[in-house]
Amino acid sequence: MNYRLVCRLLSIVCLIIGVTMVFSLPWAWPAIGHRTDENFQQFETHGFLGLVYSILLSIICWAVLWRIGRKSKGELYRREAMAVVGLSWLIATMLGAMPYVLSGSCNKLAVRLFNSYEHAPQVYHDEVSPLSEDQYAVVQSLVAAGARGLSAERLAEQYDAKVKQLTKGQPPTRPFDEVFDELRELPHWRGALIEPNENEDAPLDRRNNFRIRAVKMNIADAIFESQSGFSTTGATVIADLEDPVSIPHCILFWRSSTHFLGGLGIIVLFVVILGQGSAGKALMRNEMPGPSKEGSHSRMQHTAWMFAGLYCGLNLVLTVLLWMLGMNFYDAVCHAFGTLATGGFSTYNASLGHFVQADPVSGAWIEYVVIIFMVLAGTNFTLLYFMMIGQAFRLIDDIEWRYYMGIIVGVTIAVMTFGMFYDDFIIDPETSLVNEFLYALRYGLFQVVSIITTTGYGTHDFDQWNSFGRGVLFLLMFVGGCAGSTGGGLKVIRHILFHKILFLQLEKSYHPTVVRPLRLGGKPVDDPELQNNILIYFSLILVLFVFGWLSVVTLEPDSTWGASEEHIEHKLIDSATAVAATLNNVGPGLGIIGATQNYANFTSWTKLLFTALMMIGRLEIFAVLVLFMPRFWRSR
Amino acid sequence: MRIVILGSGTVGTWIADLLCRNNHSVTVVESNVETVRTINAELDIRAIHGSASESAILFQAGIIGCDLCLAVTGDDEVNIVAASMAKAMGARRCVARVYGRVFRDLSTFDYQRHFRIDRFLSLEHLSAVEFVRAVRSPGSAVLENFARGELEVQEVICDDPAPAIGKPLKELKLPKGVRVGTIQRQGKTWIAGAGDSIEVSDHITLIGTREEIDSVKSKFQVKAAPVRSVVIAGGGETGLALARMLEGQRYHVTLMEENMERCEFLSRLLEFTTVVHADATRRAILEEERVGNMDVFVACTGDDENNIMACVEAREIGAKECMAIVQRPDYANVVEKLGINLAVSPRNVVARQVLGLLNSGPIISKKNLPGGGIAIVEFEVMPGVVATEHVIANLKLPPHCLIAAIMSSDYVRVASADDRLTPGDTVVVLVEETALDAVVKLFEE
Repeated sequence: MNYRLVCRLLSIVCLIIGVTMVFSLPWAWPAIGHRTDENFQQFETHGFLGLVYSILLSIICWAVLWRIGRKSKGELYRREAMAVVGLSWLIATMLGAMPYVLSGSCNKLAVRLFNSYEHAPQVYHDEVSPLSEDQYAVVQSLVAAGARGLSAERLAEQYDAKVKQLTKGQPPTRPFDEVFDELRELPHWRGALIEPNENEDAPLDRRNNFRIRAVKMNIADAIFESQSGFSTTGATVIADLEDPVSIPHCILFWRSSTHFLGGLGIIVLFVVILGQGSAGKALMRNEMPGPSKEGSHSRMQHTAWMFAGLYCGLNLVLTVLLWMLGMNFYDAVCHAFGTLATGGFSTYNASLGHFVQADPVSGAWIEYVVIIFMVLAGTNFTLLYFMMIGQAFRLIDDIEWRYYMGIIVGVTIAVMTFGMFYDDFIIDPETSLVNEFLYALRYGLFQVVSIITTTGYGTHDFDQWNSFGRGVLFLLMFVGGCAGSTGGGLKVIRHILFHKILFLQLEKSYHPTVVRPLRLGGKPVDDPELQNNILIYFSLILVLFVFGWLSVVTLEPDSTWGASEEHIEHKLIDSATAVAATLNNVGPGLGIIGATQNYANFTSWTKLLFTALMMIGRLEIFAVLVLFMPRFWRSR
Repeated sequence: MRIVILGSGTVGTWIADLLCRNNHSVTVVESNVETVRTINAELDIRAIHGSASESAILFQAGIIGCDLCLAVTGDDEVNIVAASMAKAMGARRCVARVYGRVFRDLSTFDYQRHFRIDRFLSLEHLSAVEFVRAVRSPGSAVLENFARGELEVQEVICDDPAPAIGKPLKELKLPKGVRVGTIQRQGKTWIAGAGDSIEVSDHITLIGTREEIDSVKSKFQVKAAPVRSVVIAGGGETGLALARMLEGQRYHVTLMEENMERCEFLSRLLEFTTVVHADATRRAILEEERVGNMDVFVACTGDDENNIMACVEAREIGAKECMAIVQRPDYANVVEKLGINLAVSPRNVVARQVLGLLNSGPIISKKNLPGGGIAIVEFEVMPGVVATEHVIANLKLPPHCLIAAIMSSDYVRVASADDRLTPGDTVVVLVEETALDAVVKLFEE
């Protein structure tokens, strides 16, 4: 192993990360980056400093690695290329995690309630004794309000209503502040609850409120979030995205820019800039997804240019379209990054559904536009290039793309049929059949496209769908986009080839002398190793899925689901979807990580496991696994 | 006629001998001194020692003004270059023997036109055509691949509820790419005219590309022909060419080949054929591959004895029809007694081709359709001849004549009434023997 050379190349990766972070800085100024939030119009000092420190850290890393690698000699061989790709993603993840930690961003509240007051709540991950009805009412009101908390009047109002709801109509027996003080006397609870004016430095909008303390992201959270961004998964551990104190805009922008970098591929960017000749080819081979790595150009730098140019162009087009459809510039950029990287990070808690709630007409248009761009992002970029230069027939002739579109159309029809049969798309009782059909088309299509391209945006809570709909979405996670796209998953082409190989092997079993090549669209597939590779890849994914699932089920305590019977029975299924959603870079799964939920409640070890799965899924297994082979590092 | 043959392998020598016995004057160019000496000693042929692609040698062989030059060395490229040179040096007709399929593939490049060679000759391909003819329409011999394999002639037997029955041809509205060539009714065959109408159990021939013919067949023939299964033993060039021509809708083709590498090569080329890695001369394997249930068994390995034995075995197991390539003339008599339905001899096939090329004037080649006085004639269109003066509809063609296909530098297609011939084209004409002279006049300067 040529360590010096590896170090030199890795130093450039550090620099790329550092430079990209600079673009997140401007959003810290209120004039540029803020949404219309009257309560909070000040410079985001924490976020800004967090980013600046992270940039400095990247530059230090760059300097150290460059110093080690400056005298490097020799060629970049396959082994070094794999090491560079694997390590660059590790370094990127680490550096990318820094802004979350250094800015002191918060991802969730210290208190977690389950859906009945008899159930023991969690405070700082510890189970505490169950609450009384009025205590539960206070805490529930505060949890619903998020990190901002509630003023005395609002809390009194909500407390009243909640108690009446819990006791079926009886008014509360004592005032809320008495209950609040009583709670603060309990062990565990003291640190979790904040009185008005307890903290003089708190921002104005919440200084006078009753609040629950927000928990800062620990290193595992930050690594998870960073890897989720780079691997274009879009799974998040941040429960409340809409509170600029918990998570500043500039940090959210960094979160979306990790999608941009990850979708393009750090190494692709690297090759775009530096070329590197045959070394660039070796590097790209390990990072580009899918079994077929042939580009349309003879020089790898041209291929990388084409890929990067198309990718940036599509990002630009989508940004402008979303901007015109009523998003502000900040949201437009973030959602364009999330769409074309097939990532799925949003800047709102309700994901894309936020825009429909805000304005049903432009919101619907935003959905349709995003559907189209998700489909494009899941298409082979080489084919998009051919389409751009006026050879659209090559797109239509492509067997993989046909299957890809076929799956989208077929599954959408199935999901719509079953969904309408089980009344999943009825929003209110007066919905007419035509409206129901339109809703089914819009939500069904959006969700199918979102899952198959491994984007993971949500507009409809598919966790409430019928079993068929949920099951088929779960399976779709394993399909993924086309080879050479930004989508994750197994890729459509591998599924096609897998089926063909299966039939060939079946025929061989009763007619062993027959000689039949693997054909794709009538043409024989030339690579003799391909059959093996496809089978190995399928089995490795299966093994990773099964053992990942077993580890999650073992590592994660039952209390994450709450100890009640009805939740615990979901544990096995939820864990399976969580593993599938991270391994295939999708994002949301079912149950506690469903469309409206997030990964915040998992323990740190499980989060690190998910982080590993995301990286393995994005780099298609080998570039990651070899890093753990001692023989890989030995020079002789 | 004066004929120059370049290369004297088995085929070259045999053709030279054949032509010599037909009273033509033959010169052979051969690079092997020993062979040259033998030929000069044994046959009434002039043999010259030298390379076929050397201009001085060609000149010495009398290429200028010779009637036919056959390039039949063992090397495709040498054959093509030599034939092309011969044409440029003044040979009236020149033919190159090619093994490679690439040279016959017109989809990307037309070698034949580029090198100005009148005919590519491939023993393997011609033998395969013989088999295809026998497999496709048993009992009738009307199947030809002409216009370099781009167009086909297929025979169709009209049956009752077919939409075309009873209508004159001009009302049928056939697509431009297909024409009705001949009609055979009660033993009489004639060239179809626009006014002829079709009756039940007529045998008609359709000319066009294979896809086009298949698309209009349903107008004449309602009952779909059953799918037939064909087993080909031996995946040499003949087997490959045969499988390529047969595979597809109506035939289920199994190709048996001993060599694993060759199997892989074949299986890549043949999409719809089942390639089996097996030795076809072993009875157990024939039984395992269910040869007994197959309709046709074709043995085309490189070995006569193996071919004959495989056929005998297959027949014994129960194959309905057996065919084989038999090269040695000695076996010709035995073959029929052993129950082999068709024995194709590549030499005879080539001989027929070569003799068909020995014509004068604008005729490139001439073949007779069996069972009637109809000939398929290929004409060269020269500058300034009558045929180029008008569109086909206005040419004064004799009544029993049909211009079937036009080959130009850009396309090969079925001729339609508003096409106009241009110098340099080659046309295929169906004509009754009696009217041939009148047609020749149209193409003569």
